[in-house]
Amino acid sequence: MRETGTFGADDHGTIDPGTGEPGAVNLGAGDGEVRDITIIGAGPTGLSAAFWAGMRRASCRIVDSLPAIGGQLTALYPDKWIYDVPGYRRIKARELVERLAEQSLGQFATPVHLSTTALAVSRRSHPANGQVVAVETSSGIFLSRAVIVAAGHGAFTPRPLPGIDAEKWTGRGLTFFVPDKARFAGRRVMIVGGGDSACDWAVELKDIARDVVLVHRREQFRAHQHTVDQIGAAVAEGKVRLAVPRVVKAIDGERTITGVTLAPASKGGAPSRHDVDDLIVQLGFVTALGPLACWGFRVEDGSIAVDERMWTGVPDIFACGDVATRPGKIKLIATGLGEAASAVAHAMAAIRPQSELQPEHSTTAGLPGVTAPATATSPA
Amino acid sequence: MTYVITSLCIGSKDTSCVEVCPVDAIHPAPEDERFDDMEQLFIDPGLCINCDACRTVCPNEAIYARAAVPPEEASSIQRNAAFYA
Repeated sequence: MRETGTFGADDHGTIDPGTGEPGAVNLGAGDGEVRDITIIGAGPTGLSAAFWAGMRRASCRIVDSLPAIGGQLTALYPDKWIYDVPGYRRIKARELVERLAEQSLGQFATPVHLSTTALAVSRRSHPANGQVVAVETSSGIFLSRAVIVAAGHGAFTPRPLPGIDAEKWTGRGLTFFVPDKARFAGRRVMIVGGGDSACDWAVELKDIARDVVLVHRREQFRAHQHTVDQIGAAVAEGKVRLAVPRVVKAIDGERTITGVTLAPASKGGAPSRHDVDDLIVQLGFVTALGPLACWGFRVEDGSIAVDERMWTGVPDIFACGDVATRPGKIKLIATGLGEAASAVAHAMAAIRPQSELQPEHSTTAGLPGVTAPATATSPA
Repeated sequence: MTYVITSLCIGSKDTSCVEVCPVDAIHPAPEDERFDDMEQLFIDPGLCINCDACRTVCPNEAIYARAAVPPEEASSIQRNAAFYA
């Protein structure tokens, strides 16, 4: 099942096997609905935008390339303390994501489409809604009246194996995500990486796969000590074999992978070939603006240039948070949360020209759908 | 803000930081032809997103947030920036 409307995924970022690897384009309608706003990015700024959309009685959805909400906070530093979020003396990144989700998704039932990478954007006419913005994603096309890009530093994508043609072998034995452990039953699995995800998968698969080889370019693993100890025990039991310090040099096979050649990480030494059915690459993630840079925005130093309304210059598309830049801009969670309020207000002004730019104060208006009617009694 | 690699990297060039950097801001990478010529690695201040991943994996504790660089390593800030100038 697609992880829609869930607040997170399991620690391994499991994705739906039915949707395949990232980048697979499904041209079907994402959810077949025209919403007011599509928010790209489920980090703090995107979650804040979803909250403000709810406050403005706008229907919205969030799409995010990662298998869990929280953006950088979840992907890079979930257990770090953050000391500069207003209202909290300090808060763990993971908990801030939970609080933001509770306030936005939890109160306004916003659909969240995870493992869904935004690829392209276009305008099209819709029989009942006039001109709408179509966001083409790895999971179909999503239609809305406006789009708010809150994509941080861009989509996170798995770091590829240096020197290996990932495109050729992906889906033919090479995988960056582990969709279903049972798929590896009785198979010869090679896992590449030295961090928590690589070590966790070696531990998870040691009793399922026929053979588990863990390849890392240095002797030491970066995983939590507990996991490293589990690997040590599995090696002693003969359930996991280590290939360190070694790197993948070549893959062979006809339709699917049949073998992988490893070489010593430093110069010299002989390569070795291993019979392998599945190669799981867990080298972490890299983030880059990627396809967003080709959406017609003015891109300055890797960020999307916006005006004082958070408008990108492309009709009905706004941007806020780390992905957006303008003169004098500073990039903080605190400012991103505020920019989301501005972006939503101006997006609403664009799609409902009769509405007030300034949101009503929540102290008097209450919370739409919770303490106040979900539909506007006066033009919202 | 950016992170900075200090001279504690010299003699090690461990490159764990290169592996974990989510924006590929640390250079030269081991496969880079300049790798053998450089005595230490540097962080591109224009790419660094301050995620702290590199600092936590460095076995030499050579990496600091710019504001936290020890006074005796202050020149590292210029040397990092100069590498990308």
